[in-house]
Amino acid sequence: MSIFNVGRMCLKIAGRDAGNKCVVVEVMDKNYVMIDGAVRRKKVNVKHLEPLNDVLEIKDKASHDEIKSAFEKLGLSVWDKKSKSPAARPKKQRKKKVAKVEKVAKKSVAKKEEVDAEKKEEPKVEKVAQVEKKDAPKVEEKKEVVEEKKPEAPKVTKEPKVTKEPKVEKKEEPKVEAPVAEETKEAPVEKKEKPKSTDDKVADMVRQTVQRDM
Amino acid sequence: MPRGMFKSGRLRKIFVKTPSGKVNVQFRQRKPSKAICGMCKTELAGVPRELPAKMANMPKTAKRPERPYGGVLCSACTRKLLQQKARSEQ
Repeated sequence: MSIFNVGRMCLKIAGRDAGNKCVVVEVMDKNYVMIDGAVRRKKVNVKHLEPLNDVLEIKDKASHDEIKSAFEKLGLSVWDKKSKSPAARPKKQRKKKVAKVEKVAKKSVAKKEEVDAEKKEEPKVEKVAQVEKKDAPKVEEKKEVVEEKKPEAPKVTKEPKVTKEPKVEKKEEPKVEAPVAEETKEAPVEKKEKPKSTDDKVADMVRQTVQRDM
Repeated sequence: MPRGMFKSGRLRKIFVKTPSGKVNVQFRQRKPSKAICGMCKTELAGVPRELPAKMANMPKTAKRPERPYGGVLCSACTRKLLQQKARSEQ
C-alpha cells in the first residue's frame, strides 16, 4: 500500500519546482503520480516527492480550479501559467482632461472676461515696476565690475612691458649674433631673482648688460 | 628573451601551424576551475566552465540549474537537504 494516494500533500524535492508543496491528484502507476498545487501540473516519479502528514479531501482527477480553492483555504499559493501575450498599453488620459477644462472655460466665459479685464491692467503696472527694478541693479553691477577691473588692468600691463623692452633693445643695439645669446641667457636668471621689477629696474638691468658686452 | 609572463606557466600554450609550415606558440588564458558541490565536493553539472568575460554575457538561466541551491549544491545533496527540512518541520 503506497503512501502516495489521492489527496496526499507532498513536497517536491527535485526539479525547478523543488521546495514547493503539491498534492497528489491521480495515481497513474506504481511509481508515477499526477500532482498539482504550487507546482506545474505534471506526472512525476514518487522518488521526486517527500510525503507530508496532511491529506486533502479532493476528488480523483480533480481540476486545477478545485485544487486552487482547496489550497487557498490552507493559505497556500498556487502556480499559475503566465500569459505570454504582452499587457495592453495604458491609454492616454491627457486629452480628456484638456477637453474638460475647455468646456468649463466656455461656460464661464462671461464671468472670466470681466475678471480678466481687471487683472490685465494690474499685472502691466507690476511688470513695468519689475522692469525698472531689474534695470537699476544691472547698472550698479556694471559699475562695480568696471571698478574692479581698473586696479587689475595696470598690473597686467606692467608685466608684458618687462618682457617686451629688452627684446626691442636687443634688436637695436647688438649687430653680432653671439652677444644676443648671452643676453637671453642672463636675462631670465635676473628676472627670477626680482620678478616684480619696475620700469626703472629693467632699464638699469639693460644698461648693465650692455656695459658688460661693450 | 621571452617575457616573464610567458615563462611563469600562468598562461596555457597553443601550438599553431602557420601556412609556411612553421609552428608558432600562442598564449591563452587558462579557464577557471570547475564548480563543485558545497557539501559533497563533486563537480556540478549544468555549470559552464568559461572565462568571466564570457560568463558575464551569458543569460542567467544558462549559468546554473533553475532550482533551489542551483549552482551551489548538487541535485542529490539538494534532495537530502529538502527531505531533512520537511521531516524536521513535522
